[in-house]
Amino acid sequence: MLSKSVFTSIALAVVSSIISPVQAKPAYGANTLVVIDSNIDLSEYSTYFDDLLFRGYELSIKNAKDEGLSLFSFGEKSYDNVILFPTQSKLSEEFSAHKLADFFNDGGNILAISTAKNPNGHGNILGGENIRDFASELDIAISPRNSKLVDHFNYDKDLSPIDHDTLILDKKNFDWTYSANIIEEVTLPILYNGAGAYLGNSELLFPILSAPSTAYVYNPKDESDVLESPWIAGSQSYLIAGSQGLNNARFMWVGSVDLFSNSFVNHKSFETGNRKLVNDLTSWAFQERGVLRTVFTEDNLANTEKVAFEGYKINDDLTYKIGISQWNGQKWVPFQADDVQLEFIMLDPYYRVNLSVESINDSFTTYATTFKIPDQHGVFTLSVDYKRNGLSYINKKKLVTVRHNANDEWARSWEISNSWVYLTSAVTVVVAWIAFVFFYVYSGNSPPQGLKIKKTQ
Amino acid sequence: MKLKQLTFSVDTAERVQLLLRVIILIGIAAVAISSRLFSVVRFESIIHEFDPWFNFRATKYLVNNGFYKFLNWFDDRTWYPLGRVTGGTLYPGLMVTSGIIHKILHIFSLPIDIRNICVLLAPAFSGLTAYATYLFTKEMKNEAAGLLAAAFMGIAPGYISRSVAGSYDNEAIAIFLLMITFYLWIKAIKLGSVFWGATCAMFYFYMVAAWGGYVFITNMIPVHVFVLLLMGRYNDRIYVAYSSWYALGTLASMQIPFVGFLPIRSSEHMGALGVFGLLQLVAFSQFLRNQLSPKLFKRILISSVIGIITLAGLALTAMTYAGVIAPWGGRFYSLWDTNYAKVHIPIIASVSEHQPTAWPSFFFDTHMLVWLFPAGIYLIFQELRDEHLFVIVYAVLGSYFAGVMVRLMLTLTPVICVSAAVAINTLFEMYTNFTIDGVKCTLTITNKQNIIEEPTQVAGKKESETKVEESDKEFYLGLVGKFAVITSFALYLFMFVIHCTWVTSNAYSSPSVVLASRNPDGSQLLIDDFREAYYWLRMNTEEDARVMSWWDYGYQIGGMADRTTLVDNNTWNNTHIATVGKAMASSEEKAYPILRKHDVDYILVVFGGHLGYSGDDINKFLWMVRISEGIWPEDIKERLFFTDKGEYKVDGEATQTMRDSLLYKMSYYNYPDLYASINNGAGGYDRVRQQTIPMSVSPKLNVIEEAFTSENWIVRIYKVKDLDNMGRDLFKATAFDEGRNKKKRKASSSDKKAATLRV
Amino acid sequence: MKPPTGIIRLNDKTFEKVLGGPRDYDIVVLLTAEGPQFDCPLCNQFASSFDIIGSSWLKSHPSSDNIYYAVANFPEAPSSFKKLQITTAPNLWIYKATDEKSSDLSPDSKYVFPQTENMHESAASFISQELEINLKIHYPYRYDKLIINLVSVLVFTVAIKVFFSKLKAIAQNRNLWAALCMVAVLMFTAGHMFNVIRKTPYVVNNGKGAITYILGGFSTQIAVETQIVAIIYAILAFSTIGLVMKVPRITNVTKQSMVTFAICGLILVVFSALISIFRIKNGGYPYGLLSINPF
Repeated sequence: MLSKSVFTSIALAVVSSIISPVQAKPAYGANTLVVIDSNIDLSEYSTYFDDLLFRGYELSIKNAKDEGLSLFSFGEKSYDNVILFPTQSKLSEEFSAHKLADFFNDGGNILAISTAKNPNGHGNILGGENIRDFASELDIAISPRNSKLVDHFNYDKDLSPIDHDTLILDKKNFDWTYSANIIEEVTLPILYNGAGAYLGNSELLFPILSAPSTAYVYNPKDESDVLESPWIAGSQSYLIAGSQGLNNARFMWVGSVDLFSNSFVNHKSFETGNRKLVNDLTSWAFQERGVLRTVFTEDNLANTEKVAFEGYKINDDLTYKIGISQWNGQKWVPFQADDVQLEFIMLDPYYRVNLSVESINDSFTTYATTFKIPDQHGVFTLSVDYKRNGLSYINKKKLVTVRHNANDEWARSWEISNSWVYLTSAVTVVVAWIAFVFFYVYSGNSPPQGLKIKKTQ
Repeated sequence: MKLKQLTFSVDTAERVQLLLRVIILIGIAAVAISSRLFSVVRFESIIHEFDPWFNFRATKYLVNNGFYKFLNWFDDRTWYPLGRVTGGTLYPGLMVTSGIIHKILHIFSLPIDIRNICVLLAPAFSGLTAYATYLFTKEMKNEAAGLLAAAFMGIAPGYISRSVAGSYDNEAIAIFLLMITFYLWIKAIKLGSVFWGATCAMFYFYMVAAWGGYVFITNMIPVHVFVLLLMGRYNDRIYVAYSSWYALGTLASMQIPFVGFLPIRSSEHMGALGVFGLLQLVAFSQFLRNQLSPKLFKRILISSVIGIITLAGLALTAMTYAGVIAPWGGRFYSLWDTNYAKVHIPIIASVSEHQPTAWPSFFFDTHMLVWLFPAGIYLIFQELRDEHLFVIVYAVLGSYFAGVMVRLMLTLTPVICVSAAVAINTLFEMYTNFTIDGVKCTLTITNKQNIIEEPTQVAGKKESETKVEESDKEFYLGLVGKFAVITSFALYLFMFVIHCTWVTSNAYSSPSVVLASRNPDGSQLLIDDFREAYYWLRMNTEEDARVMSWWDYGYQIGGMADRTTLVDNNTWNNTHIATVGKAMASSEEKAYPILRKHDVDYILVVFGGHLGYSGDDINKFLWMVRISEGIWPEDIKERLFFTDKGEYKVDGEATQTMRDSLLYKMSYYNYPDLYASINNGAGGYDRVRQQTIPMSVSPKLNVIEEAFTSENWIVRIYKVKDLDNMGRDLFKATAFDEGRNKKKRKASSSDKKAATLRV
Repeated sequence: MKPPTGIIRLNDKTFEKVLGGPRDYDIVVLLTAEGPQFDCPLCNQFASSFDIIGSSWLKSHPSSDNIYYAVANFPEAPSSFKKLQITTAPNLWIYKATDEKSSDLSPDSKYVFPQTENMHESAASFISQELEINLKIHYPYRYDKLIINLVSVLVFTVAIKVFFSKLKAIAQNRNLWAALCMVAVLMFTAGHMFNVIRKTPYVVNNGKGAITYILGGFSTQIAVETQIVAIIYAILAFSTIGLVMKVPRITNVTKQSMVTFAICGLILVVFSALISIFRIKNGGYPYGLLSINPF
């Protein structure tokens, strides 16, 4: 029943939709699981799903209560991406924080949506607990389930005239240091209604949207201590945050389910940026944008072909090349940057050099550098560790052995001017010895006269 | 009357004696070789212990890659990430010897595996050692004494300890080279010939190529010459022998990359150089003596001696101070100032081979020879030819060095055998003379020897020769007395043989890679944990995986598991070893950055608590602590590993530092659980320390995880975890994985002050 | 005469006054229990080190520069020790300058005594680190030693000059050198170097009031063992020498046989004893001659 209605609405949406800025698609996989339950009215999110389908996602929309619903089948992950809606019913063990972590560590992308609303006015969003557990491992602490975010200064008068919990946000609320590669520029106001979170100091975390300084999160049931200690207040309260694991799997947390809803997309009095924002967030989370990959790496002696190569020795010139390409939504294109660095490490870096662009072809950029290996033998690591906010991490390491000079690779003695004095003395001794032998042998048998006299004395 | 008819002509007697000698020598060699095969029979044809594994690996490299590659070998699989210039830092003699044997056998189409050559090299060379000892002793006394000495040398446990089959170590060939070099030196000094001096130098070169102990020869020969000079026994033979040996030998020894310029720079070699100079001066003064009047000569002599000594002393001090001459090498220095190593070089002091020798070792290794040794020295003193002085100097220096370091028992054993052989030979010569009472045997071997060598003897020898004749004149012994002496000494010799067999079979034939134990019913139980673990590493880890362990096991990991190690038994870089010690002695938080920095994938620890194997890492732990404390006194403090009462505890009373240390955790991880059902949950019983590790201190691991534990828990291997994919620290990640932090999360979400806010 | 150490001795009366604060100086306190009635070798050992440290500071900083050194010995300050609940000694504590009064007298830092022999260096580096000063140890110069050395060198030289001919005869005496060599060899092979390096005790108590002469255990020994074993080796060696050198010179046949038998018997008995002693050291050794065990 449910799914049927969803698909009709989606089909309608696809037909009616003619706007879509770029027909992008994810770089790796489009197989997407959407977990909902009966409190989610899919038609409310038709614009969003519509855009996803249009971009080529294969959506499996499943009820959280479905029997046998699992992220894995036979130990392999069944989907590339997962969207977790805030379900009222408790999620099964298959969606526990540990399973989500397994999915994430296996390369799966997760878009998790929280909400502060109790859609039916009673009961709790129990499905959010798993998200909260998982997010806390990524250093995102989502506000408790009874609390909500309000702002008495920046609220939308139409949607929350009394509660003041629908916020109007604009581009200055975004943390552009982190989000520049994640979303495109926000020009229109954003409507937001939902939870807040505080973020820890994890290096893998990208804060995207924070609340205005006048906002705070509190528990409506217990208003007494709001003034003294709101759960979190001001711009420390984050509303959207992303995280990228070391394996480049991505997690996106959005604190408001309404952000995706048609009613927020189509505000009656002004045009909102919500539709563009949620599409941008999803496309980053599901590896459509900010995706880099290494095409090849290569190291070699400078100015030589790779033939009969026996390894490096000290003071050789080494050339290192790396090809990097970026996913533009349809295909791999050259990635261009001027801050890709190479490190040459043995315990400590001996070199840290910028790689310069050597050539660009249709699918990747080749970065290269040549440097002189230091006068130190050992096992060195050639390491490119390129971590930029919102881009896939590039971490390429290769061990190379640098040997010492072999016994016949030193300069010969006569090439060193200091040694001439020793060579001369050696030659002199040899000549003198031969001369001595010659004279000794051919100078007759009688010993010198003087000696004879002495002996007789 | 009948006896007289049976007397052979001198010629025939000599031929028969030669034949007998050859047969006896072959017999001795056979005994020497076969008694060293216990280990192969008991266990299998396997390389023993630690260093032999490296030698074996190096030999394989030599055989596979050829000599030039071997010479320039840069080994990137040890001392990660520094690597080791192996070709330039080893004594290649042993490997080259096996390589050549391997090649020759292959030329003759005998495709023998290089491993078997390596295993059997030491026994083969022991036969040669026996022969060299024979030659040496023959020069000292006579052929009979030589044969006795060869027999002693063949079976003396002191030498067997380093030369059983599988003990593929430098010492295996070095003792042969030591004896043959000494023999050639004696020959050279007796004959004063450049030829023998050069031959001596050649074998000296071989010795330098084979063993760091060549320094013993480098100092023995100069000391011998110096003593001769002091006694006023200078003659031209000494001059010729020493000069040719020193010049050629030193030049040759400098061709070994590892030795390089040491012979003219390091203090250990300065004695030889000094004596060389002194000898030139003495020769020159002899020349002057012939040319000048005695009075003038004396004046010149005294003033020049004082001048030269002052100059040389000043120059030596200045050059040492300026660093031109290297100060004494650590190992060598520890021979003189015995406390030096303990204070300054814990790495040398930590090796059990470098401990001083208690008296039972001497008796264990040489049995009755140890008390025949002084008797032999006394008898040698009675004659005191030039070559006898060599034995005396060797005896005194050798026994001093053997007393200071257990492993130098090896260099003492030959001189014990020689002296004891002289003593027994002299005794038996008297007491086995069964010609009719009171009649002197006309052709005793001693006399013949003297006759033959008379032309070459020194003038000062005359006196001793007459003495021998004197004693021959009064030679008279009763039959009963003879019988008693012969019987008792034959009994002792028999006991000696039994002792040697027992010691060889029980004490020195264990490969130490495989341990032998007994089942309750008395049958033999082989404990093969080491090979099990190394095989596991070989089959289950990445080929370029880095394995960290204490340095004792470095060579074995390299040889048997073929994995990269951080440190090994070639202890060339103290800092690197201290780094490993620091990682072992630190808590997990502090150790993890070290492990990451060195790209460690696995950690191997040896734990003997379950089986009662006392040579395990916990017992070596204090050395790890000491060595790393030497480099990082701020971070590692030995005192903190002892309880307040100063005890070394691993049980419930162990200090917090001890319990937090990585090594402690790795050793006892899950160990108390093993005993959960045995002793009412009291904890794991450590049979080595005889302490019980209670459940309450059972270690928890966060940054590493158990990968493998061998059958008897002797070897435990841990995998170092990667950085957490989700960016958490590994303590949090581990807690999450164990599902333990459910409660914690509740607490943190309600009490946000506990968390750190983003800044 | 000892040089002034500059160390304050504390007793119960002064203890709290000095350490209670407030104070404008740092003070290093050694809480110790010296005296024969206490079984504290470390205390006695460290006392001299502390004296050296105190005098070194005084020497380089004659006006003390607001750092003082104090000793509290237990018999002089028993109630202070009780108050601080000190049960072990020695303790080296540092009190830094403070403006507040402290009632429990707890120190700012405590020194952990290391197990090294070079304790003053270690303690000095601890103090330097804690108080951020540069404390250099000055060892008192031993003039008496210098004089003794000079005099002995002089006496030695004169003696050589006077007795030169006699000394020369001694130096050329072959038997003397033989004896020296044999003594050296006997001592070394009997494990003398082990005693020197490990500083083993001469004898040990066996726990029942008697003395143990032979310590069980293959790789340990005590000093008396060296002497016993060296004497045994010497007896055996000289018996053998006797058989070779002396017996053949006895012209009386009966006497000769008697002596031969006596020596053979002696060798047998002593060798048996040696093996018995060895079996104490190495329990698993299976062979023996006569079972003679003097110990």
